[in-house]
Amino acid sequence: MEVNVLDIKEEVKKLNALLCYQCGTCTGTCPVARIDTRFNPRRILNELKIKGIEEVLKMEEIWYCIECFLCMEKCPQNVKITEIFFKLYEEAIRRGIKKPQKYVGLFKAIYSTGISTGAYGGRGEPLSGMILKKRETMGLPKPKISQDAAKKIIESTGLNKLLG
Amino acid sequence: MKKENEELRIGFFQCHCGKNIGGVVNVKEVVEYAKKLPNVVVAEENMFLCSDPGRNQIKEAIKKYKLNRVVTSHCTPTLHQETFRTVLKESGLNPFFHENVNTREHVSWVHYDDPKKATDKAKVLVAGGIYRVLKHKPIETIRVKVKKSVLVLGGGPAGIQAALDLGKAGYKVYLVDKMPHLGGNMARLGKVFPTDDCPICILGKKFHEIRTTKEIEVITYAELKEISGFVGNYKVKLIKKPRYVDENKCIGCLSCVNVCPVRVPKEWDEGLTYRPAIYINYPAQFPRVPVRDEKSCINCGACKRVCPTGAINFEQKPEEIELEVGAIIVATGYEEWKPKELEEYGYGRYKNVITQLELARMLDPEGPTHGKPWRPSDARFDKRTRKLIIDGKPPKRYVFIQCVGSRDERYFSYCSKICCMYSLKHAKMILTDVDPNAEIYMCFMDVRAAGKYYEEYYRDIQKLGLRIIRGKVSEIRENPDKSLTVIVEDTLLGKKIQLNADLVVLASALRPRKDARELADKLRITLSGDGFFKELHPKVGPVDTVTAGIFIAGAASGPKDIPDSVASGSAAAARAMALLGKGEIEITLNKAEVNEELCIGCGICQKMCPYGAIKVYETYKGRKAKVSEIECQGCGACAGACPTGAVMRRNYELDQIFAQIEGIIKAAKELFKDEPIVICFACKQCAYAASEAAGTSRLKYPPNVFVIRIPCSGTIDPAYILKAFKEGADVVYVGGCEPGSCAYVDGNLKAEKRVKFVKNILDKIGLGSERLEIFWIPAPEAKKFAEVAKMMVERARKLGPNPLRVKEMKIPMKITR
Amino acid sequence: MKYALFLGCVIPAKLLNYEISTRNVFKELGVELEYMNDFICCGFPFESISEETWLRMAAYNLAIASRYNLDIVSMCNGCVNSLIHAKKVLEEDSKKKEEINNFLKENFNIELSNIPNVKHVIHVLYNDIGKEKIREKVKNELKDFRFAVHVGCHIVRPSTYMNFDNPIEPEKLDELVEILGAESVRYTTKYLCCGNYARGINDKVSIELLKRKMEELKNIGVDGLITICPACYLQYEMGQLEIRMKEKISYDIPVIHYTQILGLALGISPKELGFDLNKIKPKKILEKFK
Repeated sequence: MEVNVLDIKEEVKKLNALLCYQCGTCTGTCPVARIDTRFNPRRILNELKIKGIEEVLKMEEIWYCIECFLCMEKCPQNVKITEIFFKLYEEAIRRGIKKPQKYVGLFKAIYSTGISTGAYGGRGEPLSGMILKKRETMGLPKPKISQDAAKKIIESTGLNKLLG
Repeated sequence: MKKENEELRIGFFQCHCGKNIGGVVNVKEVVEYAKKLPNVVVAEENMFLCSDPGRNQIKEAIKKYKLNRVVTSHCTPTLHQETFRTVLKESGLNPFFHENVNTREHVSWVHYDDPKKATDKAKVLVAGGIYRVLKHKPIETIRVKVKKSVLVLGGGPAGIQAALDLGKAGYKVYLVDKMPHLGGNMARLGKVFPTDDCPICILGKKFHEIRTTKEIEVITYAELKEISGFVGNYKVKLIKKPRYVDENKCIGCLSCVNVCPVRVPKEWDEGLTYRPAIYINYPAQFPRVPVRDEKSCINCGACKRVCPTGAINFEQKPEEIELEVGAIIVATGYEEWKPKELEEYGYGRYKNVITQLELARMLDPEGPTHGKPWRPSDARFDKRTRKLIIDGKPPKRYVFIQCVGSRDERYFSYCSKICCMYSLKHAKMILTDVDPNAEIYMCFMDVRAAGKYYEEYYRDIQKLGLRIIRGKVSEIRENPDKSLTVIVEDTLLGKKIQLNADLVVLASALRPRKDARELADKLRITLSGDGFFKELHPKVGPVDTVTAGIFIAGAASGPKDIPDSVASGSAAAARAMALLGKGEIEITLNKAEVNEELCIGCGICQKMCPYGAIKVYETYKGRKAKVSEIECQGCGACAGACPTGAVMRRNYELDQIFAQIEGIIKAAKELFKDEPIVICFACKQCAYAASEAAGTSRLKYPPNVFVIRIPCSGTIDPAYILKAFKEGADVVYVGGCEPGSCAYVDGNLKAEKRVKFVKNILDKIGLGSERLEIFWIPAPEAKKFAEVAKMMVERARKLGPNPLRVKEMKIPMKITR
Repeated sequence: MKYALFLGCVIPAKLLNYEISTRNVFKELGVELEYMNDFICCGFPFESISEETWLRMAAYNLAIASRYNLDIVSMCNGCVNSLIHAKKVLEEDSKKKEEINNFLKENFNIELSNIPNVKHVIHVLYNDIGKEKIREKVKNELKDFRFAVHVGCHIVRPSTYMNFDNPIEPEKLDELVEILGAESVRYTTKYLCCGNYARGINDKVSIELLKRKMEELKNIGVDGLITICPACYLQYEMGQLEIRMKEKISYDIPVIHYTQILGLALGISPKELGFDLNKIKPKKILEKFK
């Protein structure tokens, strides 16, 4: 089954990107912007309008969003800020502009084992014998994971070609 | 009057509208086409049909050719239908022997890229008009006497102005306020921009005028209970709440107020201060008669004992007042939104986060600190002295936050219009009257100071040292000392800023009064999407409503400053005078009518009517429906639902619409041979208005969409739709107003039900329900109109031709509704 | 009351204390759990980079879960967010649902018809069981304990589909802590994101977010930081260890799963709640409940 390639411009428009009136609520509330001043969601939204998507996709900062959804919750114009970042990520990866290590790590784990055991720092390894033993001593059942299903799904959308 | 077998002689007149129509449509061809249509005696063209020469051309043709029917083809009926009806009237014909074909907004302005198709579409619409006018019947007008008296609801600046204008012109006015006194929100504002005079001084002068205008009767502490009747002759019932003080005996000495031992938070001051159980809201209030709050009163009787005139009466009961008025002006104003839901600002949780109205109360020289603001966290109520004690330093750092709830899709999409100005005013009051060294930060997105003297006002305040930051505050945190930390991005610097504030003041949105919906239902007027009362037309009918004789003024129809409120009060008064001035009004009876022969007395029409204007009565012929032609608003909801076709909406009768459909489809089959035929029934309040707007904005859509104008989507009769399919329409759709915004209460929902019902039939007879749809197309949504048109043509293509059109077979039209 | 347990990835590998404490607490409260088999990653990590991959993975899990005819429960904010979101998308977009169903049928011979409800442990505790019922079962009041609560982002936001609690300043977990007799401390960095998601992209931000919270908690002094999300838990626990090792700064704020303190209050022993697996030992707790 073919996966439709999204029209990124339309998608971003659908998420109300053009409605932003630059009030700065997002940047003011952003936990990342609090620490790293390079990241400014308001400015990124402005640059989407002024420079266009192609330029924004090349910006390193766009990857700094930590997906906490706080800006989206507070946005007075109902701009789906976090979801706009998602669309930018999808497009940047699809176009081969960036292959972020964080996602490559997660992808590898899930592709090969069906799950990713490493929420912390994006590393992942299959459930090791040691863990399984420990579970057994604690009286916890052995998890049954259908490894191949994840692989099949990832291949069906072609994500393996983009991140592998 | 039409004689039985009178020959019908139609004159057709096509307007060029300069190049507006003539530049696209081949006018000559259309005229030639019209000549061949049945009963057309003469077909002519004119460069500007609405001009004097144009109208004279029609008049002369009527005389010369003995015309008794006229079809004019030009712009939308909204603009010039009345013009040409008048031409007929002046020529001795009934004005309703006229039909208006729209070949500008529906043709030349939207199909300018394809003159051939545009010309064809013009012909199709003209055919519809000619067929239709053959079935037109005369409609008469009647004269009705009216009451030269007006009820004004709301005693704020708009209501007061309206009452004074009417009173001084000699009309009887009942000025009603639900508060125990007049003044509205204006009386709470301390000072008012841009002149910075005190509202009480302005109001004081107005109160004096009211007292000396004998035509004005002030009724306070009263609310509208119910209303009946119709334009010029409304019957109104008010409920006057008991204030437990006899207004005629009270001399306003306030002894009772001073002696009362009770203290409860004072609503007038947003709970920042305390009042007795028997109280007045402000010293200059009119009438200066205290009111007793029964809930907080401890019945000690001290007030009764001290009253020198014996005015206090605990036994007072609610009183019903009946009035007869010719018109009603609704000037019920606004409320300030209490932004508790807006978590990030902590209003309601952090004591020192207040609204600008609350700050206005603190800054009022009549307040407990004589106009010096305080931090609510420093205030406490001393039970012994029954006074508000403030122990703490006065606030030094203020942060004003603009657009709280306004321009926010989560709460109120609109701009509240006056917040920029009142925030500036409060900054000015603090910097000039309270503390020139105060630090005031105003966090804004845009300062909207549009108004006479307003920009100058803004500049003055900047000179005083107001600090402005362009950015919307994202977060407020309370510190242990109850001061606040405000986090905002200065978007001009691209930097995040932390401000420490003693007092954070929110410029909270102006919202409709909570009872707006209830009042609108009683008055049979509508609300716009923002919840304020809806005007008949935002540009050319700003104080009129859908119900004749009911007008709106002031912030009841949307946020307004005082100059605008006063102006709209005067405007509403003038509209009321224009209506009632002659003592009688003319009513055209283009309304519902019952054919008693067909009426079976089922009473469905009675259920449909939102105005109680059609009722079933026992007559010697049995149960029959009767229309009160004066009360009927002409929406046609009854006609669309009548199972026997007995109830008709005049000028939209079944045979008239049938004829129009026949004309259109017959012509379209010939001129749009290989194209689908799409018929749209458009409510004139919304979808038709949107189609006009699509024309004005030159939005293209396929030419094979033919619009039939109806008074309300609720007029739609399932027979209209079935007729269109029977004649060969491939797709039919209805355009109505969004739920909640129907000009006739809920005609749109009735239409929706009928469309569902017909969809069912279409499925059963094998045509398929997807050939019929209903859309909500609000008047401003030109784009939506064009998109829907495109979509429905697409759908028609996909579905292929209407099977009835392919085989041209005859099906019996005996579907009982 | 019975639920199908969606284990997720991290919990069965790294947070056995969360798993065992949830199991034992549920047992005590009379809630049955059936482990869901044949699951895969919920799809959450891909939601931001490949919407279609995310939706297919989530839908796969939902289809598997629907076999159990039970509501699904998970201990992980991310899994719950992902599955609830997918459920909403599929229920609102019938075309999409059909597409996904065709995909599932073709490849795995499974199908989605009635999509089961998806719940977090905290949903079950707060909504299904209720504070009153829990309060009745408390045997050991956790008096004198001061806890800092951290709810995590994805259990409350976006509120358009995660409509469980106040999306900006959630309070239900505080209530659940307080019914155990403990104090839920008010602190200014309470709603600050844990920063886990910045790992691997912008480590500086991740560490800094962590430090801000830890510094404040150290200053005000708490007996533990209560979490309900594996990502937050790991960020706070492993993060502290990392800072201790690299920068020689110790905060020593014990990070504790809510189910662990709930278990203590219900009279379950620390061992059965997996406290031996908490890497920063909650000394005060362990002393009191030997």
